[in-house]
Amino acid sequence: MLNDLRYRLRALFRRNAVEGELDDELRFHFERQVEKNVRAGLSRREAARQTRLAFGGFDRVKEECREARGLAGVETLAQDLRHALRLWRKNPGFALAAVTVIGLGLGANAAVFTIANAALLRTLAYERSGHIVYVLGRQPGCELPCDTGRSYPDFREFRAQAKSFEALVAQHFLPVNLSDASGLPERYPAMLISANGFSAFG
Amino acid sequence: MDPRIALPQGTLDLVILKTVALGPQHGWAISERIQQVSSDALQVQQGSLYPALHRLERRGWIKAHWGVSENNRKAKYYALTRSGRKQLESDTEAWRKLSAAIGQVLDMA
Repeated sequence: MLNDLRYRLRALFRRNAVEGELDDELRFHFERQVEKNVRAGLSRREAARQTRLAFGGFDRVKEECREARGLAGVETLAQDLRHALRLWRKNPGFALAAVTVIGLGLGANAAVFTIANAALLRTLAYERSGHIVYVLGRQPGCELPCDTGRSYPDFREFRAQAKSFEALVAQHFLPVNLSDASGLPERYPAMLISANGFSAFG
Repeated sequence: MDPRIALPQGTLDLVILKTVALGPQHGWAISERIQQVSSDALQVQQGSLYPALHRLERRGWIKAHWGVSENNRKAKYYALTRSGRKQLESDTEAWRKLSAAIGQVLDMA
């Protein structure tokens, strides 16, 4: 297993060395075979011709050796990549369009998931966040939860009488203007909550 | 009649392992040796010999090193490794069993 990996890595990263060795190896075989044929009485030329015939093509033998080294997959992939890059260079408009479309798609996907994750999947960052509910009032004649809010005295009455909750907290959103000595005032969103709010949420 | 026979699938590896078990050899000597010992019945073409050698090397059954040949030339020698010897033993046994069994079936009267 380890041997296999080492062998393949060498074949991949020292490709020129490995190919050169394969060349030397096959040439050595070829020459020995020619010598043998010459000793058997053939002319040098005829001996070389017959040996070449028997070899059945250097390139085919090399290709099969490459396959035996387990490189064919990686090399084909590299060839495909080079081919793709060449095509892009020839047609940069298409390449740009493709990259833009994929980029936009990725961006939109990430944005939508961020929202869905915050709104639907993640729980609130409070202990026992499953126990927190949002209480709304109802207005006669309005089917939607159209609550215009309670007055603070009403809230105190509710809190005194409601038995189903551990705590009842009032809350109100409003914008505030803040300024210091150095600059212009700045506007921030703020929230007023009743005094028991911090202890109720922990 | 042509004395040559084709090696069945998978037996080339076995024959190569056996040949290099007798001592490190380069590719050409391996094919010559196989041809001689089999009385010319087995002729291993380069097109199958070298891919097989590289495959066996990748599996770690043989190990290659560069040496100097009988005629003073640089040549790649293949030697059997320890796991190659184990492989040779188990393949030899499997082959003997297989050929004996097939012989029995074919001799059935």
